[in-house]
Amino acid sequence: MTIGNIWIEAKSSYAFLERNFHLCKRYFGWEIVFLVYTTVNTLTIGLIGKSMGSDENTLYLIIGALLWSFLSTLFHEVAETISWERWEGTLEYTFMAPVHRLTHLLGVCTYAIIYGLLRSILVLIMTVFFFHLNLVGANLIGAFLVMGASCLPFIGMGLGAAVLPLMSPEKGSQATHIIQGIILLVSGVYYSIEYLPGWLRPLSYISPATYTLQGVRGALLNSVPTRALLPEILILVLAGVILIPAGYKIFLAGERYAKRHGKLKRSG
Amino acid sequence: MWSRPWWMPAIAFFVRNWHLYKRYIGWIIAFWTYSIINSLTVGLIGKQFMDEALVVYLVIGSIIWAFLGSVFEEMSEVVSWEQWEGTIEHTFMAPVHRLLHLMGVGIMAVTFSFTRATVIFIFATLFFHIDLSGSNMFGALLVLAASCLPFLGIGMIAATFPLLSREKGQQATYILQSLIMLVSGVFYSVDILPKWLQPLSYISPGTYSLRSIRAAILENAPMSALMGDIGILLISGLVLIPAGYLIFRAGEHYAKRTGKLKRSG
Repeated sequence: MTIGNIWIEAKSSYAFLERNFHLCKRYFGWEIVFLVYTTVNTLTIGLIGKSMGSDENTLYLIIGALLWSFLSTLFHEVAETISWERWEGTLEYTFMAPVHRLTHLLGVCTYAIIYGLLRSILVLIMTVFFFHLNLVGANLIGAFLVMGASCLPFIGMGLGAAVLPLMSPEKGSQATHIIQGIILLVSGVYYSIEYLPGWLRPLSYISPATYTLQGVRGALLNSVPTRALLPEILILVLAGVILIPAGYKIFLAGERYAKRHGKLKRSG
Repeated sequence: MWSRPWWMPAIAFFVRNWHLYKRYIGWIIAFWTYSIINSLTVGLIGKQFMDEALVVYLVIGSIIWAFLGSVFEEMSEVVSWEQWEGTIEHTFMAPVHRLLHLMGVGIMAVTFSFTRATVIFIFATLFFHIDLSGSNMFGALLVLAASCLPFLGIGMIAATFPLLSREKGQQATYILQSLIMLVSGVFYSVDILPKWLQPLSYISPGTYSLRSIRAAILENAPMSALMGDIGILLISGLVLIPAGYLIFRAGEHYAKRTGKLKRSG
């Protein structure tokens, strides 16, 4: 692959990123709704902590809500890759276009990260004002490093889940929502995983969000130094190194299956 | 010749919505799963802080909101559903009194929402081993029934938004739903809200519903203690339902006059 080819592929990736932002602009009303939903959810969860009369509990819960808002957005945007094409009526064109699938997915994933970050920052600003949060003394760099590392496994999981709407136009997208819900339950978003029933806990250990939340909470609540966060960061990077290629291979296999069985279409 | 009962159109809309739910059963399962997980997640917050009473407090809040929020949402989507299904012109030009149409939709909204809340209740009770013996369940159900009225009324008002704006109307209803949830003390007492938000709590029917149902279940409050809030809910329902109906009719007239009674843009 020459430099010229790489540049062409990079521009194609950027085209998908730009296309997704235009879709965002088109459905701006819905973006406002989801932003309001996420903000209200975060404030509501934070108010539970306030009702217990403890600022630490409030911050504990808010960190969970904000982090989940970012990670779930990331997962959701990647997992809806196929569904978006289907809703917009561009499924056949995108999948028959002379664009390498990796190029396409790179653009989608980059968009998902930027979009997730922008949205989470907006929610964070509103939350900081609402609760008068003070993060002085917190290890913000460490927290961001953990968050950055957590993008990798979530992108991998999103790629794996994105294949579900390929396999089943009617039920695939719904299944990704259920998977997202299960990740929320077992990852200790609002509580330590020790409080889960014994039969659910093994799922916590394989969810990357568990380590993300542990790391970020440690950095923000207990000012844990970055060196002490390395185990979580390494686990997340390792999970990403495994899940991204695995998710990509699963996606390609699903695409081949859909093309062979005529499932590459707009509706059921 | 058989002359149909006057209420038959209402039943027809009830049955029609039942068939719509059957058609989109996959999405219903997805959303109900998310609601169940949401309730369990919120309840686990209480477990984290080693407070069994907090667990029940939070779980009750999430179940009640799953019911009331759903009643509001199903009612507010009366126009949107017609737009999505491509039947808006047919439904609004049919020789059916609007009151019967809304009555059928309203009854289905309550039935659907109650079924959903019951499913969540069963899962949450089994997951947390919640013991409700000794609670005033009859009183709680009475408050819940009274709460339907104002929420149906607010839902009817919100159902006008998609008539006024095809693109943004439904989105505005969801924002309204979020705001009601924030100010109604679903997971906390309204006293801890910032002062500038508290006046909104006093005008939200959800505040009185949640307060009374929690009192009935957590403190075994007798019927006499619940009558005040039941009265408030009934009066607000008696005001909001006719007001909602009149606002809806005004929105319908406006949409028909200005050509907004259509499927898109």
